[in-house]
Order: sequence, then structure tokens, then C-alpha cells
Amino acid sequence: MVDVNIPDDILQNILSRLPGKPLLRFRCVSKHWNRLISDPYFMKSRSRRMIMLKYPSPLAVIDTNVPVDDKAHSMVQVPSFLEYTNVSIVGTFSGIVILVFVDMLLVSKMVMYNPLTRVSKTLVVMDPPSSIYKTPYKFGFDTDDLKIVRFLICDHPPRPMYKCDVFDLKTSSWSKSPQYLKWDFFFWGDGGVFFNGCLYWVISLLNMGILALNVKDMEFSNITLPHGFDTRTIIDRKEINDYGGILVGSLNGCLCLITKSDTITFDVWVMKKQGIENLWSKMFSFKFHLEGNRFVEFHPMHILGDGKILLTNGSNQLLIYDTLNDSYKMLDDLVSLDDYEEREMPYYRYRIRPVEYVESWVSPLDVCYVGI
Amino acid sequence: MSTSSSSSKKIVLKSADNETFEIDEIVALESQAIKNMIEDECADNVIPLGNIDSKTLSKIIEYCKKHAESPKKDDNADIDEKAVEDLKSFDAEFAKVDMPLIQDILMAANFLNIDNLIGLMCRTIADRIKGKTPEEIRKILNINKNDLLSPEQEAKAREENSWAFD
Repeated sequence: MVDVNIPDDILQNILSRLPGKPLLRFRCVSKHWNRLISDPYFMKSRSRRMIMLKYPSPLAVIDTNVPVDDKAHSMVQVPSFLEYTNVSIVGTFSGIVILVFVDMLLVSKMVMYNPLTRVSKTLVVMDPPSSIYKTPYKFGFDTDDLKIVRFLICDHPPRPMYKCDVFDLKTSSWSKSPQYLKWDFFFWGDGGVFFNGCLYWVISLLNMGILALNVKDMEFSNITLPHGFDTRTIIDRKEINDYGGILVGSLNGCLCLITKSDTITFDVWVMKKQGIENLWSKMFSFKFHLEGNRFVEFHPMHILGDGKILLTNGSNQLLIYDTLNDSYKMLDDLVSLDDYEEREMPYYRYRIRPVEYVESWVSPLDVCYVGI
Repeated sequence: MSTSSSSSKKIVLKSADNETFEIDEIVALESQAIKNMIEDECADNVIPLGNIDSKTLSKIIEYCKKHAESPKKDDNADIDEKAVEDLKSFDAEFAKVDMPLIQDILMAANFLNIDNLIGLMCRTIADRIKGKTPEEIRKILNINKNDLLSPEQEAKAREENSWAFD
């Protein structure tokens, strides 16, 4: 054949199935290919969901659309483009991921990064915490209003408090009047979940619970956990760690929780309506362990947009579990990526939220024109 | 070329090189284009396909036969998994042909409007080209040489997307 040109809709059909890396490369094939690939509408209809997570090395991007044995495309390590000792994934919008890098002197840089084009831009540099409490910042990201909420323990006589302030991406500035919260809890993970105008963090000290923030009004409230979890105290912390703690996320348009009642049983709860007794109803439970090995325990790491659940274990294995048909897809063993040095406690791993984003050509350099 | 029961209605397809293929109507209905022709009653007994050669057409018929025989997803909520697996491995085997034939099948499937086959061929091509360089793509897909980027444009594009060339 080959004297017939491939029609555009067919060519786009082919191109839309390609991972990001060849897509970038194929912009050089011809002017026509460059035009088709660079079209933002093409990227929109392609709508390829990617997962960025902090392990391994320390950031990696997972493409679940390709078979796991396609090592060149299924897991791509993000190159270090800054010197840092710690990194947090804050949130994502329009194919851009917001990251915070902390250097040796505890100076933090907040950066917008497009993992597809690898273009980055520093949003703001944050001074090292002035207090004696050298704890890292905790974050939440309001994806509707593009606001980043930040917590830090600071000296606030007579006693240390959480200082909470907000960085507005649209104006690129911090809120004028920070709020102070009693320092009587710890954040369970490193990032909040945004759902329906509110941010949610799992917290613990005397009790496990959920801290909710209505970002528009900057109003905080506490949400109790399902019965049985609300009374777990810090003394049970070991047990909570063993059971992977509690994961908050969204599922089928509801705020939801995943808890574990034993090493292989996962309970999925949905929140009915705020402000009523018995807030949570158990939607379903499922049991999961690997064939022939009940002793390698898995923990929920993230609820994906399609309702599947990202699970991990102490041996750095990572898999996506489909609750609908009780099947799973094992992803690459994170340990097989050898240049990664584990810095955190093993149990801390599943408290670090991955983000799911849709690949785009949006550049962090001209982001002020996007979606605002 | 005809097989299967004599009771069902037959359709005859004629390739560009004048070979005729008698198939069950149910097989032909896999093609949305032929289905429309039959429904609009503008299909004669023999449907001429002037832009599809016999090699390509026999592959297409092979595909449509298999898919027409397989239980459809919407027929039954719990079709047995074996049938699904069977169809999957058939598709995988079916796609193991050289690139020119893949492209011929794709163009024909597009003309005949056979959705699943278009998808299978596009996926096959994407899988085969994803590890290639732009130069290799130009050769494989016979890209028009008058449409190349200027050397300056290409150098710039390579620099901007350098990580993809590692």
C-alpha cells in the first residue's frame, strides 16, 4: 500500500495510544505530526492518567496504560533537578504537579513541574522554620481555587501553635492573616485530600480523627471516624501503623475512608452527610493477600480516579487492586530500582500521598493564563 | 471460500482484484458500512470493494468471522471469561503480520467501519512504533518528505524534548 495517506482521525487514534515519551519524540517526525501532537484538544481527548509517587528515587511516574514489562514506559524516574533532602507532593492541576523541595538548611522551594515536558518553575522560596520544632511543612491543595494551604509548628507564646496560611497561585502571594491552631495533634500523612470545597487530613494524637477545612471560609472542623476507630489512642499507635492507618480519599463522588480490621481485610466507608450522627456507612469490605503468602501485608496508599486502589507493602511492592472483580495488577517492584536510598521509616511510606494527573502540554512558565 | 450452514443468508464480497468471497450475512454485519447498505437495501447480492485487495479482504473476513461467532458483551452480563480470553489471544495472533499489511487492514477496516478492528490495528501500530526514532517512523509510515521540519525547527524540538531522546 503506502501510497494512501493515513487520515487524521486514524493517525490521532494511533498517536493517542502512545506513552508520553514517544509522543514528545514524534513531534520531530513531520510538520503534520507536530501539529496533531501539539494540539491541546488532542491531549485532552487522549486524557492519559499518570501516577506520580514519592518512591522510588525519590520521585517516579507510573503509566498504568502500558504493560508492566514495558520497562521503558511503565515506570519513569523523575530526574533530580534540585539539590534537596526531602520532597513533598502537594497537588496537581492541568497536568502540572506542585512539589516542595527542602534543602540541607531547611529552606523549602515550592515548584510547579510538568512531568511530561519536564519544564519547571519555582513558585516561592520558604524560609527555614524559625521555631525549635524543625518539623516539615504539611500541605493541602484546593484544586478549584488553586490555593495551597500550609501548616507549620511555630513559637507562639505561651505555647507552640500550628500556623496555617494560604498561598494563592493566581496572585502568587501568601494570605495576609494566618490562622493559628492548637498544637494538640499530628498529621497522619503529608498531604490533604481536596473534595467538594474542603480539604481533609487524617490526624492523630489523643484520638485519630479527620481535620476538615472549608477553604473558602477558612473554617476548621473535626470529623469523627467510624465507631471503633475514634477511640484508638496514641498508645495504639503501633497497632495503627501495623494496620496501615486510615486512608481518606474520594470514591464515586463521595468522601470515603479505607480502614483495616485485620492484616488482610479492608473496609471502605463513605460519608453520608456532614453534621449527623453515624457519619460513616460501610460500603463494602474486601480481603486481599498475595496467592500463597498471607503474611506479606498490604496497605492502602491511594484511591485512584477510576475507583481502583493503589496498595503497597513493606517490601516495596506496588499493585493496583480492582474492587469490582477482585483482580489486581502488580506494578514494578520499587526495590528493583537500585539507586534509591530509603530515608523514611518503612511504615511512613503509605502515608505519603501519590497524585494522579492527566498529561498535558501546559507549561509552568505560562500557567497564569490557564484555567483561571 | 464459503463454509457454515446453508440456511443463513449469504453476502458476496468482491475484492479489487476480482476475487469473490461468499460469507454469512451475520459475519458481514460486523462491518457497520455493509450493515448500513443492507439496512438501506442498497446492497446487491454482490458488494464490490474496489479499494480492498483479496489478501487484505480475506484477513478482514477471518477477523469478522471470529468476532461474529464470539458472544457479545451486551448479550449477557456474565459471558464466560474463557471466551474473552480466547478472543484476546485470537486478536494477538491476528495482529502478527507485517507493517504494510497492518496498514492495509487498517485502511480497509476504516472504509468498512469495523470499530474493534480499527482499534486493534491502531493499538498494534502504536505498540510497534513507540520505541522508534523519528527517522525510523518516517520510513515505516512513508512520511511525505516535503513536510519535514526545517533543520532549525527540528534542532529546537529535539532540545526542548531532549529527555525523550535518551
